[in-house]
Amino acid sequence: MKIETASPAAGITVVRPEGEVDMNTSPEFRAAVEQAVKDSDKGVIIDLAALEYMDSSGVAVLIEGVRWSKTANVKIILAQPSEAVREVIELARLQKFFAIEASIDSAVGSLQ
Amino acid sequence: MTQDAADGAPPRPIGPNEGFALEIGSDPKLLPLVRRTTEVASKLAGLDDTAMRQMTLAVDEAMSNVIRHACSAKPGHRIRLAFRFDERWLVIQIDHDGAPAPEGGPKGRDLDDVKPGGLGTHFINTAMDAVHYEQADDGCPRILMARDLHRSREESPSEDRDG
Repeated sequence: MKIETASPAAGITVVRPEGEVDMNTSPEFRAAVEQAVKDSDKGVIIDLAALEYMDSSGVAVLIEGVRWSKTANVKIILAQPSEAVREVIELARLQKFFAIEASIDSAVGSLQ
Repeated sequence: MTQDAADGAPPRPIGPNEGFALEIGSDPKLLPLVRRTTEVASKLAGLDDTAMRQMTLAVDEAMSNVIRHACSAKPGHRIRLAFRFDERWLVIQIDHDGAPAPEGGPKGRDLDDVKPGGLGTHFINTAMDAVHYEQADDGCPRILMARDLHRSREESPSEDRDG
């Protein structure tokens, strides 16, 4: 798995995991999301477009991310999930728990 | 049609000369190999892409549970993952030399209680039509799972079932 981070606007961090999140790689994903929440005062966008697979440990990171963001008083948004990731979120019945946007632009807009 | 998993009965174990198997060490770095093998098995059994992804997730979760809990996330254990299918059932069998699962198998959490962890069992029970935790003839723990290949692809995910 590869993880890139970027800041498309002041106070906003985009975390973009690429590949597969599983028991072996989720600690790296967790660390990246946790750091992004610490580094951002407006919000964090998790770009899921290039994530081909995510297991329950990846879902756990997303749930933890929501908790960290509430504690830090910033927003967290999931953006453009791949079909495989969207299916996992729906299997977990968490599609209403997360804020999900169809594009990075719309996610950034909702944080401004 | 075989009697695999009929009426909730345990699937018939996979014999040494049936289907195909993958044997790996208790190393989570090897989970991609588990997923690729499950994808091939699901395709060969005739499942569509959505069902294949459900099966891949379920087997990955079951193997992760074995590595994390039964093998205490330590190397040196052996895990054998076997597949068999016919016109009705895709059967998956996991044999390992780690600790047995709790009586009745791992319990999932209430999905309304949103918290990290506890989703793996739900993913397994959603994909499978039968899940049984038992002891093999050699005394080692065994997980037997079966997917009904006639299950409608439009069927909504099932409710949690006890292992």
